[in-house]
Amino acid sequence: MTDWADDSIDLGSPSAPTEDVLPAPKVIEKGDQIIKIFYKWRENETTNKKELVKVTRTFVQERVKTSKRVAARKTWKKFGLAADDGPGPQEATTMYGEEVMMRFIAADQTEEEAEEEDEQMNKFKRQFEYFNFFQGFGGATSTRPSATNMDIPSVSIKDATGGKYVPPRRGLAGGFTDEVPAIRVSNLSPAATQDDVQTLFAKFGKIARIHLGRDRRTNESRGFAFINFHHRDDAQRAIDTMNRYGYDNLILSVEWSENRKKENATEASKPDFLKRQR
Amino acid sequence: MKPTLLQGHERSLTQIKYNRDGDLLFSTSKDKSVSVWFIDNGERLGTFEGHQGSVWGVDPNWETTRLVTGGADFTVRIWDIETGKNVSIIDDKNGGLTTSAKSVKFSYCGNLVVFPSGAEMRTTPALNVYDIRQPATQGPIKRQEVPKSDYQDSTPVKTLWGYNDETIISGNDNGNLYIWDARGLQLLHKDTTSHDKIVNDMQLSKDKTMLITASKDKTAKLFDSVDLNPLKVYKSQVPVNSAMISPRANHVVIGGGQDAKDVTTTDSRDGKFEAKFFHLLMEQEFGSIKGHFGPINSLAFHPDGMSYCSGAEDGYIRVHKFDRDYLAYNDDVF
Repeated sequence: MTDWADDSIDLGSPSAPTEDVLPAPKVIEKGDQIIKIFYKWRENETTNKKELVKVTRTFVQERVKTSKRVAARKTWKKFGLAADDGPGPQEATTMYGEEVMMRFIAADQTEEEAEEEDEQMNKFKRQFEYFNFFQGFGGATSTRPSATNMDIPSVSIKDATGGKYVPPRRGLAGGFTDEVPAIRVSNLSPAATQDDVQTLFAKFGKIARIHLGRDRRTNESRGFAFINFHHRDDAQRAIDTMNRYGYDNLILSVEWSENRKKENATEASKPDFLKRQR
Repeated sequence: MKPTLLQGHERSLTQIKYNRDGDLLFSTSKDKSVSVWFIDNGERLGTFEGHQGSVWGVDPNWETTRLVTGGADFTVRIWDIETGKNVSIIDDKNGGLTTSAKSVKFSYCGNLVVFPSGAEMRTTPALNVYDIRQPATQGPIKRQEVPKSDYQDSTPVKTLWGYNDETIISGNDNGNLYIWDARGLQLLHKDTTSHDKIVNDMQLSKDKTMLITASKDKTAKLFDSVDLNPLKVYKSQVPVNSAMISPRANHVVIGGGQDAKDVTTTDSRDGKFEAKFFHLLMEQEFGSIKGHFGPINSLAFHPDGMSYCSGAEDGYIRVHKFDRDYLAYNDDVF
């Protein structure tokens, strides 16, 4: 059987097809490569004539270090239905499938999500979940991180506010970032890094926080950023100056972001993971 | 990634399992056959011939010398892996097996085999423990009958050895989980709230501290294997046939699909026959790999966690070697 990967050369139809007389197959070893050449007859579908075809197959030998047990098993004789099979994978039982890709879910974040998202907060959320998980674990193993050898700052934050959860950047940690709403910069070049945005906007005043929207998986910039200035005037000046400003062949769009976070967060709007108690 | 397709079975796969070194893969099918494959190139090493009916479960021992299989022909068979010869048959002699064995499992030492027996022939469901060093005709060394009426009218369908081989965990056809003392086969604990429908698969994590169960009630659940303390729930839209815990990362993979008899009534393009990847702690689905034409019946992780196999209702085993995309994906916080 020829397959598309074989390098076959059509030798043309010989004048008098001499059946069963095929040139002898050759096996050439070239370093790690084994080249097998053999000849076969093929029926030409259009002319209905037999053609001699040269088929060249190139194999690359791989050397893999394994344990003695595994190496010994490789020399075992085949048995059962496979007893008559030759060495190597058989075409009848082993096939190579089409390329498949793992489909990642939520690989891209929307702008709304990114606005809500706080990297610190996200990390804290996950740490909280890990902490809870290993604490609730039956204790069959001592190699896992336990409550004692994990320092989680979040616990103290939780206690200080009487058990009520307060996001780390609000209340306890100064809280001025939320007084000035973020400005949204869109149509940024994907090549722009956080530092680029920093240098671009630093001249307007002190910046409290920059969030660059990134693809969660590839970590590439998605062309938008949120910037929190310490002072509202600085932010306003940045908007007035930088809106429709050309940067890296693109025209920036800078505006106030709608701050959809309500100050009086109620119990119902707490993140899911805080509601769940085992 | 380019999966390798292994096609040695004419009917749907029932279970696939790696040996401890991860160089061989064993597969069982409803077509009476048991196959073993070299996993690096997909070459078939052999088939184990002898079962007269569907084969439900397979397990190699620690050293990859002996294999145990359980079938619908009311036998549990022990095989020599190197030659493919059947070395002993556990059948109905001396209080042995009078029903099909839905799952089989070697203990870590490789001397003991546990399997459940059902209530098909109006027998009392039971857990059976055999010592394979003794002739099989001597009967089980331990046998615990599980009267249906005492256990919410259910029979055990899946059994495995728990943490340190000290316990035996059984999953029942109504979704209940039981944990038994392995020495005396006394009931230690039961969990009647775990699942609503039949337990299709149970697997332990690499360090055997966590148990994952897959159920027809469209969920997979994570338990502490020592006390069956429920830890996490992974939800799917379709019945879950198999679930496994990655030995490499905090990930869980589940596979399943509509029942074979329901497939024609649903849209074929929307079969949901993919393997779904969840974060173990966050219970969040983050990815999926498609490929099968039927529901995945069995999943197995390579011991190093760099590849996995799935066996499905369509009769194919697909061997997936993870590519950089997945291996580089890291969402852990510590």
